[in-house]
Amino acid sequence: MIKFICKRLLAGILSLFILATITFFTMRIIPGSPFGQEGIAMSPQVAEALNKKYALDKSLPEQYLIYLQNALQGDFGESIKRPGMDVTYIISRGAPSTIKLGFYAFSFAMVVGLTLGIISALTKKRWLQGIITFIATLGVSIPSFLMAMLLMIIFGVTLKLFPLVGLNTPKHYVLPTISLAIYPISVITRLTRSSLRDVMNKDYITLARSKGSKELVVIIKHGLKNALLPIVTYSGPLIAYLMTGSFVIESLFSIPGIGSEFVNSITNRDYTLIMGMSIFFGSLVIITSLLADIVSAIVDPRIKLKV
Amino acid sequence: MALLQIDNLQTSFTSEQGVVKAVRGVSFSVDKGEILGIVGESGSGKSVTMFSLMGLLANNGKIVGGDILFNGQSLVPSNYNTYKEYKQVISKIRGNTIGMIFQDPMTFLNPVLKIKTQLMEPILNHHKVSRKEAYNRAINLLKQVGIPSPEKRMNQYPFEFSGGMRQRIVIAMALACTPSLIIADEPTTALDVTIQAQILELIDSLRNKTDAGIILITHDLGVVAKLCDNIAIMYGGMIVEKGSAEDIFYNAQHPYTLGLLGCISNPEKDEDELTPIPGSPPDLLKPPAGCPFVDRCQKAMKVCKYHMPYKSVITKEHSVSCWLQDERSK
Repeated sequence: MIKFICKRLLAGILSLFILATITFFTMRIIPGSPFGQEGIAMSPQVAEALNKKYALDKSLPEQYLIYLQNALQGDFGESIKRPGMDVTYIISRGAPSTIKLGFYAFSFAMVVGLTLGIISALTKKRWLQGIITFIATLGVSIPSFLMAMLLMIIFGVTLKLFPLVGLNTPKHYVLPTISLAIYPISVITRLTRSSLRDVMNKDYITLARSKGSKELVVIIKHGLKNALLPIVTYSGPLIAYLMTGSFVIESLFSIPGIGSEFVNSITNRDYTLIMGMSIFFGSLVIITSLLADIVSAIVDPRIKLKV
Repeated sequence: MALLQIDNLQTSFTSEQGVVKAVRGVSFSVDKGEILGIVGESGSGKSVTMFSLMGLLANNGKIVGGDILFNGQSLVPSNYNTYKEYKQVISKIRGNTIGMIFQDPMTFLNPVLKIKTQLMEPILNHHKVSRKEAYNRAINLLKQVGIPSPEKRMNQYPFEFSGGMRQRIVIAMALACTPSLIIADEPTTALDVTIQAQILELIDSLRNKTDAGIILITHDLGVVAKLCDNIAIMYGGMIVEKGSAEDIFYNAQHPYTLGLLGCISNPEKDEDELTPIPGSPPDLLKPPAGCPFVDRCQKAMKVCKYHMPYKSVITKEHSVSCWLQDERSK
């Protein structure tokens, strides 16, 4: 187990390195530069001085090596667009609220999605199945910004139940959490439903019934544990997706998270910040998928943790 | 009174194409210590009969007629006031007084639960014992079915066992509460030949040890020849011939039984070819009005097609449903 984790972490570092390399060169292919606005010409002297300051006058491979050297020492540079602010500072300032919100949305999506999925898989009432399928389809097809605005109008503006801007009190988390969770809820509901339905028709369920076990025991002990696997597999990427934040949700609710930083860094051609963000998100994805693999191995003993 | 008495059992499934009459009036009985073999090809209704008896039919399946009496108690849901009442009765019987051994050990064990958990389950369901006691009983069961180092095996998962070992575990589960009736639904079909023999020996030894009645379902006549006292041949959802093992092997009357016997290879005779029965079983969505075997029978007569043959009694135990044996056709 420990050997597996070490190996996976080493492989993760290698992936991060590849990610950094690809990001570094592709972002430089994007036309434009961090300095000045488009259409407004800078004096050649100013441009030259700035390029010199950020070592942008050197050749691309040279810049790459300099960046790697600094990054390995933990120096991710300072934001080009916002002089005086370190990339690490920008990330560590915005990450907590984004990760917190992402975690809430993940937990909420899991609880609601699993519950709806189980009910929909087991109920014999056609109308109940219909309602749940309807909700799940709606959640997948309505874009999150529309959903967020609908929630804001209904619960924030009309009913005045929840505040709309910022993340100051627990109440502030309610609407952004729900808006973020709607899509994963729909996916989890559908996954749980199809997986559990499939499992309940398996031979070992018949055998469990033939032992005289109560139906509820059969469902929970024999059905659910087998049905959980696809959901665990899905939850790894899901948690990474939720924790990296959503530009749309963060902008709508004016949340000072990193989801919006990422998008802005690209439009600004803020090279150092783009790099820092990519590496940060990359690490999150690697860690969460490692966690998902460990959980799958706990749920299903047939999965051996080997690389 | 017989241990198990089934009278004119009829089971149907509703499907999108219509009603499938899978079992069409099956009657037989099993006594203590008796092994009854039920033989027939796939789709002849053998398993459905057993699933009806255990109350394990799929949601679209229903017993539409006849009665099942186990120790004098009816196991047909419609004989109870509410379905809940039936559920209570059957869940006390399942795994307790009736144990069922299933066909495919690869798919009938829960892949994510330890053997220990699965084996202790029927014991804890039906006996008021501590987990420790249940654990000890489970260890004994593993010893009984011949699994070496049971203590170590208890903590393993099904995927760590071979097919034969898994089938032994399935058998151990069925035996957990020393049932008075054991239903073995094709227990050797999914196993290779050497393991088959071991499993059959195990089943034979159970009868001697526990005096339980055993129903052995198979499509292999060789299997029943070794073990069974009585044999029922099923075809198209009905029993076409029934008798003692000697009756069936040396004095078979029904053309289908004779056909089945023709499919057994005999190493003593120097014959290169087996004689298969041409054609395929009847469509039970629209079962034929007459004998189900008529389309494949070489001795079919006009009467066979439109009229169901009556049961002709040959000896006290031996009976056959075939117009050839009917007094009026002689």
